[in-house]
Amino acid sequence: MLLHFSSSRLWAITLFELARLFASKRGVIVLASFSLIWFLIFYYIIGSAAHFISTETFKAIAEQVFGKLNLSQLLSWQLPELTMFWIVSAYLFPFFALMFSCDQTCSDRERGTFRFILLRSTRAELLLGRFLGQLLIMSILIAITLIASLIYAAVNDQSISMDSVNLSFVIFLKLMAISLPFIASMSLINVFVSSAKMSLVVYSLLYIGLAIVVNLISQFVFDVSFLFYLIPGEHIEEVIGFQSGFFTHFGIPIMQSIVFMLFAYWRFKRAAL
Amino acid sequence: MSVLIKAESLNKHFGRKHVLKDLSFEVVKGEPVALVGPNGAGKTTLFSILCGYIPSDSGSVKVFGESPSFSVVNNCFGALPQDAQLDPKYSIAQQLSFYAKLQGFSSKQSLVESHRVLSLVGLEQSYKVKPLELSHGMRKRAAIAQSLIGEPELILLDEATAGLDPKHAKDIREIIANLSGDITFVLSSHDLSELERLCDQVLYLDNGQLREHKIQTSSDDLQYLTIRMKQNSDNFIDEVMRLQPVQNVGLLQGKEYLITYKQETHAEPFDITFLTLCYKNNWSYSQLFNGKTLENQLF
Repeated sequence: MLLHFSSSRLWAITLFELARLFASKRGVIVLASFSLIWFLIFYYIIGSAAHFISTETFKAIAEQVFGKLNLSQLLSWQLPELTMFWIVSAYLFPFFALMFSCDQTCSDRERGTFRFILLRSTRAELLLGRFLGQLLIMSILIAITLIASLIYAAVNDQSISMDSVNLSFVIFLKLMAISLPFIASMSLINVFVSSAKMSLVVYSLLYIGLAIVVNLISQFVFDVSFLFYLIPGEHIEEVIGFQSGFFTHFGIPIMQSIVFMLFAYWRFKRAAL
Repeated sequence: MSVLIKAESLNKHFGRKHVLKDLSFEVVKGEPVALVGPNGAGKTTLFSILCGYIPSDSGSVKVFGESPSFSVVNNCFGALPQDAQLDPKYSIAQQLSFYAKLQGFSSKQSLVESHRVLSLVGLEQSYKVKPLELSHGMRKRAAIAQSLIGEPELILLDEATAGLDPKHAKDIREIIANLSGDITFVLSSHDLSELERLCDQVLYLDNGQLREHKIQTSSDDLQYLTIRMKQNSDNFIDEVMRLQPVQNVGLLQGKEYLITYKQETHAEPFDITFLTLCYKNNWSYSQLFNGKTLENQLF
């Protein structure tokens, strides 16, 4: 199989995913909604909360609240806008990752468009190319919102130091790692379902169901809590304080993604298209 | 002769239904090959296996000496899958250029190539149009255009002219006839007269079993003429039977007859004798076919 793997075909498939978002009417509408949501987040949440945690009067309260939530390290950041951006994004980007990647392969498979593509590429290239395309889209969206938060901080009379730029890069990588298993889980679900809506429904049922089942078995039968690692985003609460190690930040989501993608490929390779 | 497709003991089940039963055949480089059979005979299943869309249950199939899933990436193989549709979100140009890039063309070359294949199917004006803005027949032609990208050595066309108007069906047949010197086509169609015009070799698939057939106009001993008359004549069979070389005259359907005869070496060619008889009796015919039509050979 590896003998037939071509990085140029993989790259062509990945780049074509960008056109799906940035050069289609539907994509432009999605981007407009995304921008509007972020405008509201900046205006009403990040702006006012950054002001709250950086004001001397409320600093003590903020330290108490953040301390209880294990977030006290975030208060030491130079730009409170970045602090709030990180907290909001860590919970919001998984949602965006699911929304943007919910139609990686299912509608093309149903329509038969895959048959044209598979005359020129292997199934592995197609599956991985679509996944990487979504990852590329998420990286662009994360980078844009991060730059917007830096600009927002600069507009609010904050000077942007090199430390803040470096911190932004770390935040970018950590947000990418958070989004990764959500996109991979959608790659997996897409192999089984026939529409984007169905993939979101299946995602919700599958992971809510899994969380309930694992919880019940762990409480009443025996401890299977390690199965929680099958749920994307399981580690977000551990990493939100920015204090966890490299493995928690990157190892867990990467391993989750590899497992999801391998399973997706195993199924996709055998699927009738 | 180089073997393009080699299938051995191919079997495929869908649930309890045995769709393909122990198929073995070869397609060699050369004239177009027809794949014929009634609905549900397994033609599309066989095409899907050859294109690598579905796996066979047992047996082996090699296209250009490789498993179908991998032979496609060598760019020597194109196909028109039945019922596959182009993505409605992108223009025809975007999609064909993308396919060309997957086949190794550069960005610039891919644009030139997509223009070339669209002009072959008469769609150069629809370059920037999205598929949903085209009629069914035009979408079909765009799908045929994608199979021509990169001038592959082998093209499988599943129901290529189904749904096309007569003019464009004729255009597609002309394209196939013109390119069949360089490209080997495997065609599936229900239009037997179309296959008769284009193909010498027929793979007849019925109930999952394959019968290989060579389109012939004559056998060693007996020869045939198929004639469709304009009017029925009461004494047509009797009069024709009186001709010396005629062995049998059968009414096929409506006003169509199959004349079986034995041509003597030094005698007047039978078709001349027969047409003279038609002239003398003032019989008009609408079509004269030398041999049995494919329809009559198969069914």
